[in-house]
Amino acid sequence: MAFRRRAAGYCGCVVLALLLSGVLHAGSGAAELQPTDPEVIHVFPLGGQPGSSVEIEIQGRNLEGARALWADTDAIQGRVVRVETGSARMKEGRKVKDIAGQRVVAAMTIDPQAERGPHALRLVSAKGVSNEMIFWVVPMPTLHETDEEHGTAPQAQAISVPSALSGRIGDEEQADFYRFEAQPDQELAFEVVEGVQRLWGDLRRAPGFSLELSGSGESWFDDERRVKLGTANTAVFHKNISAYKPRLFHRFASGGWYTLEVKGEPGASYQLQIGAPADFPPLVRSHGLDKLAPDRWQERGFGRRLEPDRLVRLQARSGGSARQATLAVLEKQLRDLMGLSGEQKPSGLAAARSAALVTEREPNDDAPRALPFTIPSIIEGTIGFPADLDHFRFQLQDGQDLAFEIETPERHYPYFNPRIEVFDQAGRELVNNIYKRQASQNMWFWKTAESKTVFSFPESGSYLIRVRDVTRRKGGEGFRYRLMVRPQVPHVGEVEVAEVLNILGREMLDWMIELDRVNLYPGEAKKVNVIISREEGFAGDLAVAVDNLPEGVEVLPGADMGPELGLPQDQGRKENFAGEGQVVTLLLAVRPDAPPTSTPRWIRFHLRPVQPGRLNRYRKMTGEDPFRPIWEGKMGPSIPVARVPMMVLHPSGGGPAVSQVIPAGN
Amino acid sequence: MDRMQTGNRSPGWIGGAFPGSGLCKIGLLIGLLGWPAPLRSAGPESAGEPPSGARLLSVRLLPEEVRLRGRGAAQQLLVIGTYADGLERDLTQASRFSIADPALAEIDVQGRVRARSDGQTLLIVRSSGQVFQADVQVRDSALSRPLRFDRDIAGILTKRGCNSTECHGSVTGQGGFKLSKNASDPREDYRWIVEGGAFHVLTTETGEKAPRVNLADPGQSLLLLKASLAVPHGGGEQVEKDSRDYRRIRDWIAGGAVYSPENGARYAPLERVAVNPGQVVLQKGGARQLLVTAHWADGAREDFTRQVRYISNNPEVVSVGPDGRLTGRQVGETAIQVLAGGQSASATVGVIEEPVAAYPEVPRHNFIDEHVFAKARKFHLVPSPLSSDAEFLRRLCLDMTGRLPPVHRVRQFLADPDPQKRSRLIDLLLRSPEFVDHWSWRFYDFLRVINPRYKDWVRRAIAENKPYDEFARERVAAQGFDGPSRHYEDMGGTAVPLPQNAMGEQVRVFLGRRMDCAQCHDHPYESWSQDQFWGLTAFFGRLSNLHPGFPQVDFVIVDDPEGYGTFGKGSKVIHPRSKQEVRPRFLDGSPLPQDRRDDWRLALAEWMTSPDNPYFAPAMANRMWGYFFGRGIVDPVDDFRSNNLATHPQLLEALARHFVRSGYDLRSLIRLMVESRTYQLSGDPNPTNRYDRVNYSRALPRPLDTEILLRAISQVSGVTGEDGNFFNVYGKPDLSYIPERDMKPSLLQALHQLAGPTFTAKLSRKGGRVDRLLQRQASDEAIIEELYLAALCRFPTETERAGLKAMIGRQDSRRKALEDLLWAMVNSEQFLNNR
Repeated sequence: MAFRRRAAGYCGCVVLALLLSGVLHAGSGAAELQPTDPEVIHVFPLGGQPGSSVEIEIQGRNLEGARALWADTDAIQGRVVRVETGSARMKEGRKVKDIAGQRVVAAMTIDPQAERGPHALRLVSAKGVSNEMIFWVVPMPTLHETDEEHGTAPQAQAISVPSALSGRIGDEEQADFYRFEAQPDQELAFEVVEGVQRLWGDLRRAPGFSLELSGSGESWFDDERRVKLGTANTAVFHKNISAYKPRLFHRFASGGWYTLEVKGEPGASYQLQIGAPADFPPLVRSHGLDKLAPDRWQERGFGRRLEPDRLVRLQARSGGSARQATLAVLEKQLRDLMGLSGEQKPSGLAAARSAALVTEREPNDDAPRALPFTIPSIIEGTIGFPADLDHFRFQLQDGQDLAFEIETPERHYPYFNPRIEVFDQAGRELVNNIYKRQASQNMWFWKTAESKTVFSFPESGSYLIRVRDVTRRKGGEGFRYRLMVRPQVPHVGEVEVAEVLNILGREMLDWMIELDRVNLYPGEAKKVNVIISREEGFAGDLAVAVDNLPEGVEVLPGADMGPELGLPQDQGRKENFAGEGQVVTLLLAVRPDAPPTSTPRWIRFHLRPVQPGRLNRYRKMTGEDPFRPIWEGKMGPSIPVARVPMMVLHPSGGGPAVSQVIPAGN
Repeated sequence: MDRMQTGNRSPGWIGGAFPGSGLCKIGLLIGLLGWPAPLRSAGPESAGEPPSGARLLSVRLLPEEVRLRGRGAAQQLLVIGTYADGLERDLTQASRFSIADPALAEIDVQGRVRARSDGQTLLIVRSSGQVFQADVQVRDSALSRPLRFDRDIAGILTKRGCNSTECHGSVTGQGGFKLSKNASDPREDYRWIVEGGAFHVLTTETGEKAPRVNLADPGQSLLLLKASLAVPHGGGEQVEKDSRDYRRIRDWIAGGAVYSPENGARYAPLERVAVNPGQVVLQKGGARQLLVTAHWADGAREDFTRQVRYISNNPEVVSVGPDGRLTGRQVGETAIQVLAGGQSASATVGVIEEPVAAYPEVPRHNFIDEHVFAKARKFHLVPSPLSSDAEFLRRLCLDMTGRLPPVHRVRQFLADPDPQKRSRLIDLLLRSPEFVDHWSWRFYDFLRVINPRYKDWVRRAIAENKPYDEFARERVAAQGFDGPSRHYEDMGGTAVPLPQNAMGEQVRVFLGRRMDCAQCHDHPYESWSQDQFWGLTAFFGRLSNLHPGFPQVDFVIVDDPEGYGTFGKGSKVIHPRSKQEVRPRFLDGSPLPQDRRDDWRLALAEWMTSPDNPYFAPAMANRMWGYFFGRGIVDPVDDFRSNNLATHPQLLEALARHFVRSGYDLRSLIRLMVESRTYQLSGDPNPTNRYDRVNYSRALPRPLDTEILLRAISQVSGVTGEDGNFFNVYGKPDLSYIPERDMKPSLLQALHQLAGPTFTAKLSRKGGRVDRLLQRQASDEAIIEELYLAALCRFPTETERAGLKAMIGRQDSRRKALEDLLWAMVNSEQFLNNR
């Protein structure tokens, strides 16, 4: 889940998070404030091997009448076996509590050809479609935790390796212990994955699980003594890498029995994967979960993939390939008409081609040995050792607006933070990717290393780029980067379809959360905000469209009050590092006579840039910009931005009695 | 029967009701374990005369030859007798002096020779029936040396205490008149005197300037009018009118009040002053003259005995007169500071009751013993015998691992006949995971480790025995997100710490110096200047961080050329007084070399941890010593300063050398300490060392640190976890600040020992040791034995066994009686302390 705050501020966010947890807890006792949406809280086990069948138990609330599973792939089949009333233990804010709910048992069959990794799964119940569960298809044999006590090291459950073990944390503060035998010099990887992306996950520091590996202590004091060999947790937490899982690698110097301790929140289920390190791909954004949201565009973030066709893809988000050209031609015609002169900078259109791939070559530790490249290019390099400096040089025949984008495919914040600096021929630093602004009512500077920086070069010349880690202590094999230098392309950046958090009927200030699902009864309406980032000077008009709506559902334009303005803060050179934000408010309204849906539908959100078309008229002005044209636009190609499952619910709460996996392709 | 006393923590019985079968517990403590023995009253003061039977072995004269140069030059003589009881005594005043040629020099009855005219003659000394001769050489007797400010006037200001911290040498000066402490900055002092103006702490503005000297009428100079109280002076009369010092100041003003005369001879500055003897042992009531010699840069020497200021750090032990004469007042040890203009020295003085005539030979295990026992010999302290195996086992386990050994290990060790078993145990504990636990905790404490990532790094460093210099470098110069960088997060919360705070902590932790006072002004008690403070602070001027953005709060530590990112104060470190930007400078004033300007903090870290750095290795050696011996050789361990002297400076140097040569190997340093006989001495005192608190002639009982005490109670009771507010009562440092453990006993602790759950409910809890022993139907004798082994690491004596069995038999409830026994044991001095 991603949170967005319209009026940036730091201290307030923390206070808000605390308030939020307190308010939630305080309000949870009132019956009328009980949530009504189906919500999966725990899943157990979390997956299985290709070609296997597994019975899973889903705990949650508002799951009564659960009748189907809705998967993102045909390779996973299953059906609801039974639904029982029960309770689920969950953590809300700082409190752990048992909530009244249901227990759904489902039988799953995994196709032998099923793709390894996470798969999205939702439950369809009488109250609609649930949140997303993650079902892990793993190559290693699967195990379950024992029913016997294994909450202390001496009670550790013996398991084989490699394996994927499904377990569940019991009481508060309880840990699960496992022991396994390792061979001398054997290297193993250990990782804990979860089955549910939790709503409040991003607000908590170090949520989720921790993992600790220990071996015999050979203690004179205590024969049972273990010594810690390694730990991993989710303490590193970042908007773009929030799915970091507890993972550790260890090479065992000596063979023998070792112990793993898994700690987590009460009642939470997990899968402990143990195997050869090669089976564990690098930790990247969302841990492979990105494929669950195929329409999402990632403008920034060190984990995004920069491909040679990025310029082409950017053009596709610019409102159509002709938009810039049309605008340029029309503007030229108008200027001629007005008798105006003046040079225009080259537009991004000229650069709509594949970027060249350039590989860094050492030594390039100083400016004289800088590696030349042309624009656009993607430079693949490595900060090979601590304090390594990589230099590159490019020429501009004229002033030009450029974008510098960097990807770190293996290590990210906070372990690898590339600093990019651009110098002119005189050695003056023109721009770097460290965004510095004041924060928290101007109490301190807030600096971030940005994955994208734009800069307008006013003149031709030879320019030097230096890439290094922000520290002088880090470097090595994993410190790979891919730096793309390209012309700026005005385009639509990240778009988020979000709902506003409401607590006790009161809007939670200006917090919005990514829209995960929509379940509405006939006659209801839901406010949805579409948050658009305009990048690199994109100034065109945009229309928001929603299609594939269930029958009887319509989209109405809405209005929202603007964000409250905080204290004035020094935003620094924001224009170099951030797009311009725009929020469009819509209402999803269900007519009172709309028929209920039996299965969820993906409602699809699109943006339709409006291209300049016919000149309607212009008004002659005075001053530097002596004319004001008025264009009549024409709709450009559609840009898909998000898809969200939606159901129109039966007013009586009932629904078709089906029990099967529903492919989510509709 | 071994005697257990109520411990340091226990302020003793305060009356009122006791929990449980209260009177039974009192009976246990008083009847069985005994009251503390009363202190033996001190004997009558000795007159300092040789004791009856003490034979004079030899007499010597100091200095061995007399060289006088210049008009009025003088030299104090000392006649020292060495006696068979091992003491040296000052025979100067009992000696008779004469000069062979009185035309050349004169000598008074106190043994002070003064020049008259040039030439060479003989000094004859008669003392204790012996006659000595010494050469006397007089040169330039007609030549008056031109007066200089830094040598003469600053010297007078120092001797008279005008530039002491109580007077114009204080942080703010007095009445707008500021002098550098002990004339450490004579040029600045000269400016304030000759140019005038009022000193302000936070600005260099001086207001209207009126010179404090009157060149036209020197006698009307404010400097003299105030000092002689001719005009009101808050400090009273400091220089008597027409005294020698008054005349010299007046003459200097009359000569133009120049800093140094243009026609003066080549000036050799004062290089150092030396005190003879550096170590003095006095019998109570005895007296001794100090001799102070100035060493000039040109190699010349001069008697400064009457030109310096003497300060006794503890006048109740030793008093010192303005002429450097010492008198032993009370048994103990203290230091005498000697202050000359811009220089200082010190002497250590011990006062003993009676000399030990037949001092025994004490075996040595390593060089620690050489140093400690040599001083003990000199101070007539006979070391206690080697500790028992039980005493050693308990002490070593608590010191090296912070826990008591399990009962079966105690039995095993005590029964082991191997003479090498102590060394084997040391090796074993050094390799144990509990060693890593304990020393990680110790490091968490003094390094203020809160962050889990930081903890992991420290723990790994301890486990791997990472060289301490490498460890320190990584911490000081830490960047990025890994463990050592987290200490900047622990210091600053959501922002990096201010550069001055970051610097202050690093210097205190790794160099053992507290420079914080110099932040706002020159250090009031030390020679650290404000410029030095800010010069070091500037190394942290680039300290900054990268934030990932909400909700992330963990940040990446960087050194940003744009400067530190806190509170928007910009990029430069600004001197608060001069308002000028400060560039990084090491403590000796040298600037950061050009080729190191890309990584300031790393350059500082390398300077700090260099083997040539005189502070780094001694600071850690001293800290480690403090852990094993209860006090630092310099104590507190992080407060090295000129008036807080080392009790064993050569030992500290030797330890530091060993530490450096071992590659900053902490385990090697620990092994060295615990293998020494000094560490392994018994805690039982003898008549010579019962008052010794600083010379390590016996093991001193050390209160267990709060966390160790709780663990020990848990181990003995068999019940883990904290009960009630134990940590609050016994004190656990708040790691938000540089921690200082307060080990003083309190009334609250006494109440907690009586009624707190840790000392009551924990001992009787189901499943605990007593309960388990009863469940096993163990005999009273077996239970008594196990409790002794668990709590005190020794078997009970026969008397204790018999007494306790009888006591248990008399009680209605066997369980209650055994719980009471355990209560008495964990309240005993033997348990509460590491002895």
